[in-house]
Amino acid sequence: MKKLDIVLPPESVTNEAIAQRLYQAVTSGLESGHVKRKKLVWLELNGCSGNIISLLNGFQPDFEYAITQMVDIVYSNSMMVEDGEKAINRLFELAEGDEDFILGIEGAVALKNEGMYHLVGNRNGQPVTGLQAAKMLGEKASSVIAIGACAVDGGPSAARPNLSQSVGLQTVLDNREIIKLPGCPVHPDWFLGTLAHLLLYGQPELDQQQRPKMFYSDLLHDRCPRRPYFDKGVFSETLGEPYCLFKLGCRGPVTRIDCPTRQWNGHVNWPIGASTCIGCAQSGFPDRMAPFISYNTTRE
Amino acid sequence: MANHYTIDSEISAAFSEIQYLIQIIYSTGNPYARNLALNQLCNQTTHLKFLVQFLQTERNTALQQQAKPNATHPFQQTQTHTIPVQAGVEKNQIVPTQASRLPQPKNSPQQLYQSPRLLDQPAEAPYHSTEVLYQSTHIPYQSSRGLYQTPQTQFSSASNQSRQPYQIQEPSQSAQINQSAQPPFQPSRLLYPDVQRQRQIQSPTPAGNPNGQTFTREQLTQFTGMNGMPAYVAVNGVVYDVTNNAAWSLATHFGLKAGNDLTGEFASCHAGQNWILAQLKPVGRLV
Repeated sequence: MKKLDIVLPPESVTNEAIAQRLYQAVTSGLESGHVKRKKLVWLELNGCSGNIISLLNGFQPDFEYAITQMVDIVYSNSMMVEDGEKAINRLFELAEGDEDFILGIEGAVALKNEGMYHLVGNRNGQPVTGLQAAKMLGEKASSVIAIGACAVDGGPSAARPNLSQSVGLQTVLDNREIIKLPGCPVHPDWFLGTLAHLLLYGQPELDQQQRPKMFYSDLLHDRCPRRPYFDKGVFSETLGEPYCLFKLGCRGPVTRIDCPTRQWNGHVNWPIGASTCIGCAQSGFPDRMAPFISYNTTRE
Repeated sequence: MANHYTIDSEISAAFSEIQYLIQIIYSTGNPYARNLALNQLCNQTTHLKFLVQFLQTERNTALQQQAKPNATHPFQQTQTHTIPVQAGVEKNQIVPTQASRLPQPKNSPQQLYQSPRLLDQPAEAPYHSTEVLYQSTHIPYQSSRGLYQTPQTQFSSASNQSRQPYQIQEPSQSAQINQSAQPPFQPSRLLYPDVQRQRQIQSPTPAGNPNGQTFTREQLTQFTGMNGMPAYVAVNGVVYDVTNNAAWSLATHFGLKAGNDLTGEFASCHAGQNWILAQLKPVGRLV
């Protein structure tokens, strides 16, 4: 009989306790050879490198644990020691070899002039475009994770007027199943949690937009600590007030993400603590989430 | 007027209940819960039907009382063969428990539910239902708009030569209508229950706002939800208020702005999700 994947009441279900259990599961899996350290390629395309910076803020597990215990990170242009052709050769070795690897891509794919608006390097004197790299590695990787709003659907890189004709990863890898992690940036837990799930149990359960349900299922508005004020119709008039920010432009009611319970910066605070939610983890960000803040909304 | 207020609030409550039940039916996968919700829906629609009838009979009472100083019966005074059709004449449709819950009108409902007599019929022969009435006069009843006026229907009454259109109107109006003048079609004045139901299905008439405003596209563009103006959007010809709708922060929704007709956009993103519209507050129609 298949073992039920549930946690019985005597086991603690705090974040720390769950992380500890997962840690033990991974450690014993690694020791027994059941879990293998896979290779990870972190490819940065047309974006701001915000997701890799966010990843460095990871906490339980942290980035160090991720690259020393969970995966073998073979390419990250922000992190790796090698540079130039030596670095780019790593990508081509992977693409041409038979080795299994996980591909994480942050940033949008620039399509204009056959991708010449975004180059990832040079090889044999020829420029290597982001478009070329995404296609080459995307077709080869065992799993592809689109990290951040730009990689998912273009995000800020594809915002009007979109001079580089940037698009989301799915547009250039249309036949591939891609795990999508929208967010600007992605919370380290969303990426590391998805990665850990891939290593331990395979692909996590995804919703209709290919987002892992374990992070993207709750409506932010439903978990918001300011929610009682919304229900009573008490709205903040300025950002400093502690009431509901709906009339100032909060996009919490249309955004599905676990920010209210997970929180940021080592799980201590999140955007609603100081300002409105701008819907960065929802499709269509930023153009379809604009305007972010306004003071002349009609109040009743 | 206290009665009107109570009935209005009961009607609003029934509408809310129905919308809630429809959502449950949409969302639940449990057949037992769905059957239960359907059952409740049935009860609520019956209740609503009763309330609408009640409101109409009460209004008729008031109108009849106004007309009383002139005539004991409006049809004996006027040559216009106007037959007031009472909504849902069958008395047995009224559930006693519901009736007892509501404030009773001053006049007995039974008296009001009695159909009016035709002029060529002896006064002793009462009609018990509109069905009999319709059968006897062979009026083609069709539910589509504008077919209530059937000028060809000959009415074997005293004024055969005048051949008045057979109109369904309220009793008090009949006294005011000139024979030669054709009264304009007034859908809101029609009292036949099937017609009302038909209208509700064809276009969701604002609950509690049956005589809703009409908006042109130019007028609608002013309702942007900014600077004191409420936020209105139109879908399928109905204008909805989204000022305080959670998904419409800053009167925008995924790049769409209030003050516009969003029928196409709604269809492209929310096809088959009419329950969303049912949750919104309708304020009028787009013309």
